[in-house]
Amino acid sequence: MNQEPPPAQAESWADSRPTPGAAPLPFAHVPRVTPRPTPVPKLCGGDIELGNFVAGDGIVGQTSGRAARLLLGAIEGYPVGAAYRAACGRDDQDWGRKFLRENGGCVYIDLDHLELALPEVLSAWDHVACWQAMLRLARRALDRANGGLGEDQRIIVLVNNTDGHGQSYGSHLDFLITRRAWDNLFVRCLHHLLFLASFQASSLVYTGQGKVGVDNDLPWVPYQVSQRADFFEVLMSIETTRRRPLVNCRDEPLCGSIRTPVAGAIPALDLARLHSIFFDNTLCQVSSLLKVGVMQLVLAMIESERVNPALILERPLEATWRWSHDPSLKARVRLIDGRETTAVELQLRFLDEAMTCFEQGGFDGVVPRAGDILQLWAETLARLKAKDYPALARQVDWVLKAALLQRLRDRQSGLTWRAPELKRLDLMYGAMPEGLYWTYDRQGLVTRLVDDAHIERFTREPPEDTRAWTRAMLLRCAAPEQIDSVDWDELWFSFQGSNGWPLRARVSLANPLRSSKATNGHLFNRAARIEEVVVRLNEASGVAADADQAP
Amino acid sequence: MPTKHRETHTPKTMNERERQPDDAGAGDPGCPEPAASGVNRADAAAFFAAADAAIESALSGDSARFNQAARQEGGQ
Repeated sequence: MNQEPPPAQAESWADSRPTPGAAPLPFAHVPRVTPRPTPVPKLCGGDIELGNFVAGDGIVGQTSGRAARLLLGAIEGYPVGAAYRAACGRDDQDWGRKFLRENGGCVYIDLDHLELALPEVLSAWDHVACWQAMLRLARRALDRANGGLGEDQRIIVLVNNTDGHGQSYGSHLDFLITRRAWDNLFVRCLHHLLFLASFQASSLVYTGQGKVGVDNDLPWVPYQVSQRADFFEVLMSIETTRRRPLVNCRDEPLCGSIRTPVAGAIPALDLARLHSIFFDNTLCQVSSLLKVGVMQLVLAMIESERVNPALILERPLEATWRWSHDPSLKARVRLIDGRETTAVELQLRFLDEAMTCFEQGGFDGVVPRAGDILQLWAETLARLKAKDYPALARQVDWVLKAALLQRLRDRQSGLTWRAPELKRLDLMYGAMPEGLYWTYDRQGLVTRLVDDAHIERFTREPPEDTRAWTRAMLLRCAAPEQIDSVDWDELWFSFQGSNGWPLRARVSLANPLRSSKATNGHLFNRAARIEEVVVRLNEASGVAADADQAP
Repeated sequence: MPTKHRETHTPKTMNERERQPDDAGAGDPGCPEPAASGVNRADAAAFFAAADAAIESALSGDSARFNQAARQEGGQ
């Protein structure tokens, strides 16, 4: 099901572009005075790394690099940065992003993992559909790539976050927040950061995929709730590949310059992006929706400075490990006020805070279908509290995976938790093509929140209510040789100018809330050439045409 | 969807929540055993049948070798 268009608040932010030719503000040397805390719509994206390798006879050594290249080669899209390739002589699959004209997302290889980057959406339901759609594209590429291999070899794609050999790969979420909220989190208000870290730590109970054993030299447990928990080593940092933080402070807004604008740069928009590296790759749609939707709610609360310090954990990092290592959900850890709490109890307190915010209209125009998210959150926590595992096995990955592992142990008595069969089943839970989750999905044994048509649509079409729509339409207009570069907040094109000289022109998509179909749809028509569309878009955005022209 | 007056929201206070039963049901490592309670036998039968089919498919061949082949480069 699709979402209603973003309400009035989205429109006001969508119109917050700079006035062309406006005089610089006086007292420009005075530190910026931030506006009052009004949340922006919680637009979200995601970038998901997959495990990939070649299995079969005669396979020797590590094959993840080969598998990733075969997979990327089987996905249609535009590799960008041809100039870089010419200069370096490198295979463009090693570094180039393939933006997809179908849905405005992109696919590339990162450290020998196929990575799927989702188009921006406003609603958590659309996010779940896009996530499933990108997996569907990867599955189709997998089938094509495997069709080119011999019968004794096949590529396996792991939809998880760790290989069982101490390596982890991410499942990142990205949320639009105000620059003020960013500054509060990382520069001004430490309790905002701790509030977020405490929320995330306790959210494992419905966002974990589950895992046999431990990583990173932590004490052995047979089974734990989260794939990623063991890999977090610090509270906050910019790192993503080592000493990973609970809360990542990479300041890469992808919505215009974060610096004082200089000639030719896109002006800053007082917007920022929270890059969350905390969560697992989830398959169950309830887990996936809560992972994104509840983060939208909590970030909206943080953004409007509704932060209750009583919910802050004394040691969020240790709590993450402790709660992940306790699938009985009994473990209690200390809050800063000295009281102890289970993860579910703490989540119920976050739910209470969010309900109060909802009653006061705090999510209006900020989080689509906030009431539905709250309802699902409350129901899931009630089931976790009651340990209603039959119901949870249809909705939460770590519970479903635990059930499958237990079934294997029941069938093969004597299997210990260190048996290779259990680890293999763990790896195969979300694997393609034969993962266990997909069997359950096909047979209707897991809860679906988005229907198949919704998912299939996002394999072919972009979300209509964010800049992903304009990005996809521009890629459809241009011939491949006309596309110079594509990034999330700008595209560059080369074509012949009206005077015959070669021309490079840029389209800015700096504000992710603008450039929706509603805003720009009338600027595209079937007969339009890219040259015309670029001019129309730049005129409509009030930005002077930004172009480099040969003499 | 909840109304803005909490008509569908479950317990209001921590005290009320803490009075609710907190049953264990934990197995070997504290793992949940989803279908073991037999709340819905038809569901449980379907669940186990699907599990058995998926397990058969997933575990053909040498598991230790498969696990070794799955080794990845580090990622983000």
